[in-house]
Amino acid sequence: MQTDLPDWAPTLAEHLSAAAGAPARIVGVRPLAGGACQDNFRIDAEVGGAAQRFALRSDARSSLPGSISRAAERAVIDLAVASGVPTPAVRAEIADLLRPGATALLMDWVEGVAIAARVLRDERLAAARSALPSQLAAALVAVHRVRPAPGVLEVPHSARPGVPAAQAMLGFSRATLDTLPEPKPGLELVLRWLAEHPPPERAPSLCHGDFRMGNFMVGPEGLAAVVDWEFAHWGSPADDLGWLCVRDWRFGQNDRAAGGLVPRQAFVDAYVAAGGAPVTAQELEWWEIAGGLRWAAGAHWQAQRVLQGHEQDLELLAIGRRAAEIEFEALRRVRRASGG
Amino acid sequence: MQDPPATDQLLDALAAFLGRDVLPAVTDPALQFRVRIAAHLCAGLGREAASGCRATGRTSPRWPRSSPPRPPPPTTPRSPGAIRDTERALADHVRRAPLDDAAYAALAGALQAIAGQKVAVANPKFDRSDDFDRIE
Repeated sequence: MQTDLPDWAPTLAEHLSAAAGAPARIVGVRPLAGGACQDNFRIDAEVGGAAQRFALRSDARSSLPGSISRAAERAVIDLAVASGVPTPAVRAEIADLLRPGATALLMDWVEGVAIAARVLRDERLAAARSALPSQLAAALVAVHRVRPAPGVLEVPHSARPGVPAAQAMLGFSRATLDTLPEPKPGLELVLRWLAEHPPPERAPSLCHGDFRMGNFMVGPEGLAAVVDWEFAHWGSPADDLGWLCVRDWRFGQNDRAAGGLVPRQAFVDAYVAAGGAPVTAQELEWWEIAGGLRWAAGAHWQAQRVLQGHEQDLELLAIGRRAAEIEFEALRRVRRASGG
Repeated sequence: MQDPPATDQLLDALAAFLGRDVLPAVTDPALQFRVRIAAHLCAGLGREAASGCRATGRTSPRWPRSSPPRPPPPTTPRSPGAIRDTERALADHVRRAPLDDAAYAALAGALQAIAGQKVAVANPKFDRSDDFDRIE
């Protein structure tokens, strides 16, 4: 049992008790590694005398442009759960828990591995890797079944009447670049090329927004849950497919462009087999390059969160130094698409 | 100018200390994660110091000579302020100049080369080869 519980543990216990309809107390709180935009904790509790484990996900002091609040994330998760997406349900939404203005979500705990390098290389997960492409495709189809709901996800990168998905995403990337203190000529070129070669318009659906290795909880049988909905938006289904193929999310498995698991076309085939609409190679390429642009601008912004004094986190500074890799790859794809 | 050890030697030693001595002694997974990041950053900064590149992101951009239309005269700025001015001018050129496929290819190639200079120091393992498509 942990004795040095944070001062917010009793408040959390009250909310947990109300949600469960039984007496609850918190017996352990442990910070979780890897969350760059939220404060995440493992919560061990006793509910009605039985041991239960939960995840707690709180607003951080600052976040990336486009990152939704925990209250908005709760609405999205509820829609995703109702659509059959394997994702942890929210049990309680608690305002001002860790600090004033920060909302926290108490969520179901899912056992599994999320660390990409382990998922892609651990011998014990070989069977899981075989199952993952079709499981991920089915989960993504369930995400994309969710159609825009009024008042939900009204964020700048959401498609909306008169603003198609591609235009909304490029407007968002434009705004992000404009907030950086230094000009980025390479990313400007990528953005312009994308704007001049738009993909076909599609009816908007829910997009996870960060559908990639690292946000998949994986167990011996494969996919246990899709997590982290902070970049959810209304957009093109091809957006999530392209994002999964962004080079940074292959973690060195470069011969398997779709998340380090399988080649692009193999994942598109699995997506169509699960009931998703077909996506052409050209459309996928556009969204993959757009994903590179969004991530490169986001990587620069992660470092700015520290440099502007909002956070003190070595990981965020290190991410800023990776922006050049992402920009390099996006420019390589633009050069190749232009005949160079 | 300081006496030896040089900056890159000290940073290499720090990276080795963090990875070899500190990391095995840390049991908290969240702290382990950050020690790995610190070791990785020290190793990268050691390469930067050894290469004479004071900070990535400050690599001097050069105008692509073959890019039609002809951009403003090439410059080789040295101060951060001058580099920023050149980057701003280049960004403005990229946003406004008429670009056909050939110009896109030339500009993208030139800017890719600039990004590649940063990547070569920050992450030497990153595959920058032209035949990367063949691997995919």
